[in-house]
Amino acid sequence: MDTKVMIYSDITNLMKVDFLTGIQRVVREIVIRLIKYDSLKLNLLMYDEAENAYYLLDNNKFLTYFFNHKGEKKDVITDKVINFTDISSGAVFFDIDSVWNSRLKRSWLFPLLKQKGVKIVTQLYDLIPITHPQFAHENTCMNFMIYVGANIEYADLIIVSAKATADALDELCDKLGKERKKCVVVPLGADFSAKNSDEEVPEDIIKIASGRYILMVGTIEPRKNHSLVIDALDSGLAELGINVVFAGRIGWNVEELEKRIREHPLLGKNLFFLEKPNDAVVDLLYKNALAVAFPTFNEGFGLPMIEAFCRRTPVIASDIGVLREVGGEFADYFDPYDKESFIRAVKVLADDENTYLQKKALLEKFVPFTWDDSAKMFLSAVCSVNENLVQVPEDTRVKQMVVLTARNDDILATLPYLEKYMPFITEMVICCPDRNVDELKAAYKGRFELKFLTDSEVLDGAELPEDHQTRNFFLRCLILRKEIIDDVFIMTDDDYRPLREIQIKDFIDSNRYKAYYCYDLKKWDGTYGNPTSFDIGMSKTCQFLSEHGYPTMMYASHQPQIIDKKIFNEMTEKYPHVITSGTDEWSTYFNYGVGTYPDKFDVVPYISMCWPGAKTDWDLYVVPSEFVFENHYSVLYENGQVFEGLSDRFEDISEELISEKIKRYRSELEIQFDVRRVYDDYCSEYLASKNEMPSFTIVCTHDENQFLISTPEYIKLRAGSFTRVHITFDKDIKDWIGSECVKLNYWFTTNQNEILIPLHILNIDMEEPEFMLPMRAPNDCFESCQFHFRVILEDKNFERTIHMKVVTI
Amino acid sequence: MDNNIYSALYDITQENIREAGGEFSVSKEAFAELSTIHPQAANIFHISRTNSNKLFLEKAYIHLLKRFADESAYRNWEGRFSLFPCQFQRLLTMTLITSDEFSNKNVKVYDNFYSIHNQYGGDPSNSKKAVEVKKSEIKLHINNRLRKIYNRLPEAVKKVLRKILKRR
Repeated sequence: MDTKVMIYSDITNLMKVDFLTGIQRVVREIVIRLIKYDSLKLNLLMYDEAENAYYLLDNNKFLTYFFNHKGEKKDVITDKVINFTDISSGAVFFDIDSVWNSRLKRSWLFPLLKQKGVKIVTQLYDLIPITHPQFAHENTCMNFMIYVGANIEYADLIIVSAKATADALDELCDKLGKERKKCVVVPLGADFSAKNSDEEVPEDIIKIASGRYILMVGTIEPRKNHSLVIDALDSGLAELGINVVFAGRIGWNVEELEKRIREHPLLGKNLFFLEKPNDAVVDLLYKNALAVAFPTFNEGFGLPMIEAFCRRTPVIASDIGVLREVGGEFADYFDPYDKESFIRAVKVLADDENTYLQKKALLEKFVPFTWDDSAKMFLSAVCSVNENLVQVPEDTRVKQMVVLTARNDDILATLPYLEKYMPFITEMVICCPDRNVDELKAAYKGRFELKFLTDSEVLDGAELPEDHQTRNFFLRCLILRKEIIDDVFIMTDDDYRPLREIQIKDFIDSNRYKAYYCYDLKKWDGTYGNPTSFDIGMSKTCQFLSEHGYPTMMYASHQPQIIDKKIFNEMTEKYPHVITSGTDEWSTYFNYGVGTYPDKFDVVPYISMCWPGAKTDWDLYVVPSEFVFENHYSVLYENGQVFEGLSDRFEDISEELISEKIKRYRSELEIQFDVRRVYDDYCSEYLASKNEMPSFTIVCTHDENQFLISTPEYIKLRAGSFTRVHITFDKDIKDWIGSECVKLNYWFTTNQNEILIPLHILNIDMEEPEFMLPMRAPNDCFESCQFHFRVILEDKNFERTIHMKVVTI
Repeated sequence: MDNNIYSALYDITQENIREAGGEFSVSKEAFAELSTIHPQAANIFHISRTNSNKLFLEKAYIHLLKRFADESAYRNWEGRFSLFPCQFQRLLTMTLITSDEFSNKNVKVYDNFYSIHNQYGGDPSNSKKAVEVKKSEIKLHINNRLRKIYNRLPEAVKKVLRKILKRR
């Protein structure tokens, strides 16, 4: 078992920028160290907008470029694509770069990661765009609020560089009425990587560095308060023979300041502005400065201060909490709003050599936090989210299956399969109507110890709900309160048949319960226009889960699944109304479990064959990697169906028979994948030529007092197939025009108006106006035929028809 | 996802910037869009669900160009804020989608019912195969402002109003 912690880290900005800011320097130093730790499997990622996915970076080449300063940055990028859904349960997503301006907003990404219980750890440098928005560009404030909001909602751990930032985050959470986040303080290092040996210091810089000067390092921006230092220069520093050197690039919202600098009468004499200095220049300037000025209004840490200390250069810093915390006794402090306060602090160092020497001596005692120290603490923090995990105990035994059935024939037909292929199961609890028990006892001769929970025992006088879905969940909730049910058991239906020998590992692996999902509830359409009890149950489940902040994967995968009784009952105790709400038992339980105990579950694609029963029932959301169970439908064995001619009797079971069934079902799925491929290729072709995706939209236009149908210029479909096409109806057709009876008609004809596919009628549910329409294409291939699409507002005697070109291939 | 957290953060930060003498130019509604944007897609139908041309401008930039509308965008478009929403939206959508900036954005546009490529996109009367539309029997002779008020009314009240107007 691999015990390495799997970490994914988005370092897109580091890969894209040419000039390293403070944050990118931190990212570089931490990442080059984390790569070397054996206890981690570090996956470095770069976001690609065109793919809307990540590209994996090569760790060795990353070191070559960023540590050894060799090679090219583009060589670091591999061609391996990592989709968001590839980041699996148990992994840690570690955000350390300045990601808030990324198009991949964390408000979109984090809920997706949480669907699988991925842990999120974020390095939060500061909260300045929220606490002091006047110091940030408005766009940065907007993006930063989204980033912080998503982290408050979803992050498992926040790492900060100073306690002051943790305190600010606590204050913010309190104001938002949110639980305070778990925070760890990890100071930043100061010993930056060996300088690029090719870097030289120009002569004119050497001359500047030989003078007496106050140095400011960092981006020229309002927050850093460069104005105060220029004011001080004008008010006396120049006369004292003290120069001012600014080393850094021009930032945001400093047009006036930039003008002041560039047009300053003392520029080049007492005031020096060095844009984009290399590391060698910065190093020299630090070492030779009289003092480093740090008059900032707010900081997350204050790296320039530490960098100065490392070079035994005195620092004159703003008297604010975070700088006091980081600088301690080693810096001198002043009021950043008071120029005279700054000048006095400079004079103390400049005028009195003894004081200056004492300060230098004190600085000899400064022991910087190294990047190695910092990286160790980062490692410890990131791994801490995977410590003391609440997981499934090693000695968990599973011997019991629980089935809810009213069909003796079906369960009796299924039991032999379970006996043969699930050797670890010794007990079967059958929950059934009272009248079914005697027949089952008489008919069953197998090895399982049968135990019964009858409806009367379970209901104990309570009334059984009428709706199928509600009844199922209601019964299961009552069943799970019975002592006869083991703490951990396999829940199944009477028609789920294993296709090979099943091991415990198929249900519990690496101290996690397998949670087999088949869809995303948010995307489930079901049988549109005529929703089944199942579909309604899925919709209710999605609503319940969304309202309570749980993931929304669909676990009604039509296969046996492992259930933890304690977690199930905890869920129903916490949300008692859910027992009679008609939600789906599987999805409610697993999403509650994944959301509450993410370390106990491993969310994986399902492994059930014949779900969907027919290839055209719905398009797969995820493809099973193998078929381990058959969701048995006897109709599939009839003439004209996928298993025609094959036996579904246990007595006839053989490896060859099972292989044949799997082969045939896979072929059916391949047909549907091909149908989808044709449609997806058409969408790509349409996008490339028209700059937009083909869409069917029926919209109410208020100001023109009409509605219009908007369809693509043409459509391409696989001949003889069912292709699902997205349709959007405007709810205002009901609200504005007042129609509640909306129908959709479609049919296909040749260009000469001969019917190819006759009229299909669909009632539109104006409460669910977006859906996937399964369009049946003509059987033959046509270079051009006609698709007719009519919308009728029956109660308003209002209709519109549109005709469009269809190509069937 | 709790959209309220983003609204609350906006309020807190707006308060902070006001204390410093500033003000956000991005509206709260536009900011709320940012919390829901898909990194690669823009759905014109969804963003068109507003009668405010200014808000539509903000939403269109966020969803199509993945950035906020800047000063020049407001300058270019505020002269047309008085257009009917449908006209304004159609014009702005097509301008943005055909822009050079958009062509480099890798954004997939869905449900663009304003599209010139669609049947009945653009002006329906120009469509090659226009079918005569039977006008609604309900003729509401109200101006744009009253329409906006109507849109905000509860459903039950709207139903009563429609009945009353139909009787007339």
